[in-house]
Amino acid sequence: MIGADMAATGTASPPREPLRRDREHKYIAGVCSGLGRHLGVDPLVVRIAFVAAAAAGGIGLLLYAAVWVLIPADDAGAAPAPEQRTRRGRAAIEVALGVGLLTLSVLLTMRALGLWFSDAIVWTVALLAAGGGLLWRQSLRPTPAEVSPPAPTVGLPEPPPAPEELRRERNRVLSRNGIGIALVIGAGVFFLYATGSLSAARDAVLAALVVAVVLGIIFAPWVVRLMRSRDAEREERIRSQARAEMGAHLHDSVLQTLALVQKRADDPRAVAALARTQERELRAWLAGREGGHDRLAAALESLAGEIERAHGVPVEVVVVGDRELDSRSEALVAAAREAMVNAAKFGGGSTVDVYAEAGDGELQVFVRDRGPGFDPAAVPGDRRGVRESIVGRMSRHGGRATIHSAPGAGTEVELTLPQTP
Amino acid sequence: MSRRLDVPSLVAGLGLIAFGAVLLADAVGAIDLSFAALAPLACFLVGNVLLAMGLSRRD
Repeated sequence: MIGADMAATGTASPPREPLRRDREHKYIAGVCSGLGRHLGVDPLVVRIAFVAAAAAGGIGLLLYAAVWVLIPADDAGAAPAPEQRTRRGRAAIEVALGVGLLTLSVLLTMRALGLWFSDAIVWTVALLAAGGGLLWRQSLRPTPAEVSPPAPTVGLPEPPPAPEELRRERNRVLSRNGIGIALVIGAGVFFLYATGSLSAARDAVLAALVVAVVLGIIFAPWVVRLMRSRDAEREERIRSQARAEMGAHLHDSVLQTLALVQKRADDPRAVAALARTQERELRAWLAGREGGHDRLAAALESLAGEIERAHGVPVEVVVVGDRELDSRSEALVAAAREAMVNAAKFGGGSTVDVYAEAGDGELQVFVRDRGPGFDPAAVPGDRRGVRESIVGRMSRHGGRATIHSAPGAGTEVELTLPQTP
Repeated sequence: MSRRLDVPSLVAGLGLIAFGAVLLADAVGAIDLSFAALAPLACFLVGNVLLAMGLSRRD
């Protein structure tokens, strides 16, 4: 029907809103409003449909509750504040307990009505489902070690997570896994008890338990040490990445400006303008609001203009496709900026060509000049421009940078960022 | 100014009314309320309230 209406009016259909509960226009949980927004119909129509379905045997209420549980709210993707995280954690526990009690009530009702296989099967399956579900869900969540460190290309690098926070998260993971394992073991024990096989299995279980305790006592110190060293290694890696990002940014901004100031030392007005620009940029970076462009093409065009003004070299930009910038593609833009600056500084005044392509799979940017070129292997180790601001930065964000250059043959920097790191 | 529904209170209130009705029916002899019937009813009531509280808090 909606499609027919669209076709009748002959207008191009706008991109469909993602299916999220609309908390801003909610009466209860924003289910109807979110569905209406997603389907492109008036939420009132959806509300009337739900009320009618609720009147017809209560199916509407069940449907509403199911959608409420399954569909996230429209701000669920935002990083929650600590107190919000605590609130959501409590909410998750209440929802889990509520669903568990409702399931229990259904099972007890079925048992009372005689719609029942046997205690040994149903309770075992219920415990297995609860424990298995908990373990499975936990396995799908990233562990503290797998959570990717912050990518502070734009803005002040975030401080690494405190060891206390890491410990708390690890304890949470362990307690959830512990509950899941206990439920699964409980299911097995209950099944053996209900089928009368517990006494036969007791000796084997006891032997396994003794072996497990002995092994636990022997290996516990190594396991604890291993976990501590893993945490320490991760903290060090995050700190080192933050330092590298900070260094790359300082190189790209402050050091470049200082080099320009030295070059134009005979022009006080140009030096003052450079200092003002750098001050503004640094303040914006410290405040975490650097950039101002949220799409690739706009960001590259803006950089090209900035470099043309600073170095007096023409920069031609061609962008095929476009994409919203995220932290990874912002890193690519920062690496492209460094490549453009290098081309402008060392390209012998030739035009700098920038070609960017935002495909479905990956994002690519090529920066080319027709200058004298250089031997990448001969770059001294203390020069951070290519090594840290381009190659290191791309590598830290799951991409790669390749320099094609030779003396007398110009230089091309190829930056590639896959869809996923 | 629009007033928002306090869903947990609504669910708890409706549940208590239903629970009271069942107890009343048992008291007047309309039904014979046994533990096997009362336990799932209590689980249903508490489960609904917890679910409503959790979902509201999540939002």
